[in-house]
Amino acid sequence: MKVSKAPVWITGVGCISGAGIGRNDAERRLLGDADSSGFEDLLDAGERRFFKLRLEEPWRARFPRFHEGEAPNLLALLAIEDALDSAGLDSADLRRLRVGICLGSTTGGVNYQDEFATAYNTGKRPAPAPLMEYFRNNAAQFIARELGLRGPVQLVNNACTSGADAIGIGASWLNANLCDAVLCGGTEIILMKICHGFTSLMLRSERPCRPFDRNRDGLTLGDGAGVVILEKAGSPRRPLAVMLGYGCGNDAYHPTTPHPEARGLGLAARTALAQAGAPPATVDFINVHGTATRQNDLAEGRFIAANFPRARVVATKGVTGHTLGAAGGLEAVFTVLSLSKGRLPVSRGFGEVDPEIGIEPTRAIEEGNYRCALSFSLGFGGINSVLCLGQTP
Amino acid sequence: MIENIRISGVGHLSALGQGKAALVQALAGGRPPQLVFKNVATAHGTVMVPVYQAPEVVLPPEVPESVKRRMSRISRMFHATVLEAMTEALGPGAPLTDPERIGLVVGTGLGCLDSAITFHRRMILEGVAGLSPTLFASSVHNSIAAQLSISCGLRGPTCTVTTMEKSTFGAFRVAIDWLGNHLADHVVLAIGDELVEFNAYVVAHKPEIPRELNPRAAGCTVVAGEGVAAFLLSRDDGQGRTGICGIEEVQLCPERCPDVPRVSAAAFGAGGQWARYQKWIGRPSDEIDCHAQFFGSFITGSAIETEIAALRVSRDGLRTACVQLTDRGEAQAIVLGP
Repeated sequence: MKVSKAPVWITGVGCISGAGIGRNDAERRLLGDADSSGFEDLLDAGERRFFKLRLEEPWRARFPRFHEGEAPNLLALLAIEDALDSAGLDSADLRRLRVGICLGSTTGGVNYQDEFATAYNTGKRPAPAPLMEYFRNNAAQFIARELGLRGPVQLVNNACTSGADAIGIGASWLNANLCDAVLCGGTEIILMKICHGFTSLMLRSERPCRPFDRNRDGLTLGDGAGVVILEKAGSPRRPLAVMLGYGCGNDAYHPTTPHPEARGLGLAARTALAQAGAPPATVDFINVHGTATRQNDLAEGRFIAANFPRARVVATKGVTGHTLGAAGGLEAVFTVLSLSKGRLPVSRGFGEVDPEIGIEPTRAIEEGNYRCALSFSLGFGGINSVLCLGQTP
Repeated sequence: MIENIRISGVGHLSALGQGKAALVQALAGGRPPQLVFKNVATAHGTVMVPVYQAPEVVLPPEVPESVKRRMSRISRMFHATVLEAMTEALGPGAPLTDPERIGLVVGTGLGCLDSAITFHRRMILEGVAGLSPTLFASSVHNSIAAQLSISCGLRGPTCTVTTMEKSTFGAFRVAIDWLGNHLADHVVLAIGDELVEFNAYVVAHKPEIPRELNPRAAGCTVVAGEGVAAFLLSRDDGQGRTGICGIEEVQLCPERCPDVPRVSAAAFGAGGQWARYQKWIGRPSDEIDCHAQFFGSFITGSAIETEIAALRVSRDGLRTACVQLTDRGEAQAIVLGP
């Protein structure tokens, strides 16, 4: 295995989720001294029981022809604008530089389906125009057109690791000199089809999720988008953190259940650390996938306990819900914020250690000089991805 | 310039038939593609729509019945072509010496849309209480890769790329970056789409329905098709030129057409498309290869055009490029060499 690739700088971050609208809001709620419980005002506690961002009105004000199918695209656009602001990049920079975009989503491109398919499936024969919109509906292509980007454009559909994989692919584009900068991460709006699908798998909790808690009983779904801006080391912009490595591995075990010994996660972590040239003992904290399902947390938690006993564990889905294809991007943003601020957030929802797992995520904000962190993502299809991020030198 | 990455095996499925031999035979002037007619109900009555439809695939007996039963049609299509590519490259039934070193990339435009339609239909018509978790899992876009990794035992990096017509080139790029960065020694790369009822439904609403696909015609001759091309890409560290051909470049947004002796265009019969290709490539029509008339119009048809280009390089030794222009004029290119 080849090791120690040239590090890539993370020069901007942007996010929108149950943790807050924009990076500054997320930082205040996750890492600030104030009580972080204020995030509930962003959430829909109604029947559907998932964190739902209420953004239709501002969207319609900006995009009068907005329709629900474009929601993931617009969510990504808001996160990207936040990230561009964070990096100090403006539209002139986007025209001057070769900027690529690589986004992850589990449903990107299928978002226009519900309305048309409902009519079609109930025997009506609607005009096919919405289908053509659906065929063209792709978050990465939408953003590239909206911002006039000149670099590569790609959408990754790797279920719940999509956002992390998009960041890994973005870094490979920089290493291959395909572009000067990449906007990468994930975006997701939770469709009813997705809600019912997770219900059919009996994976949804009836209350906000409790990652790694002994009494956890499933996941809470959530809308969100998280994006980082990657540039080659030496960019004129000041890095917030450094991307040191990326790895991916497959369980080849079951379509919807992780391998009990986290086989693919092990390969992904080894690969990311080998690229970073960092031994496991140097990992200061891990932003875990932590969906709060019995099987995910058991496999992931035992793997961490066995391989990273020194690392602090942070689980953020108790704040954001599981944002599926956006999760890897969103959690990469949170990891960057923690590295740059020297603070780890509370793992909301966690209360009691599960003796079958044996790890104890953060119970309060913790402060320290964190140099090296991992962000884990596990997804349907047995896919596992790990990002290794480091403090700015 | 990419070095030492080669296509060491291919698999094929389209209206021409299942297997590379069917493709080679058709290109040599043999078997014509399978054109079938579908009756499509619209608000204005029933319309007959021609489509290029692939035959139902035959999976080898080694694939357990329990696995076959869970596979969607598109998963079976991908499975058959991947097994063919792996067999050509690694030998029949060869054990995988290090499954963690074999990556898997799937490229698709519409992915598992058929399963998604079915899941949605049951949700609407039958309610949510009895929804099938298996069907839900099959409707997730990366379920093709999931089925392949489980049944073939592929444990390396895995990725599904769905960027509409750019999926072919994006998927190739992911694969060669993994090989170049030593994340894998081989990558199984499978790209394609299946015909779903929505394809014919869209065509049925056109004022005129083409009966024959001619990618060089000035007007629209789109006839919906389907197919999968599979490739086994291998890093060839000092072993000389093995396999079918080498990959020299995968360009996701080139400014000009690669300078190679032959060019293959991924045109598929859209109105005015051929003239745009001619202008961008900068050559007369008879110096440009194009084969969509064999397999029909579909989002990732460029994968089959690339497969044909690879076979041509293998046969006559000339460097070639498969190029694609989106309807917005964005270009992608793959350069193949001996």
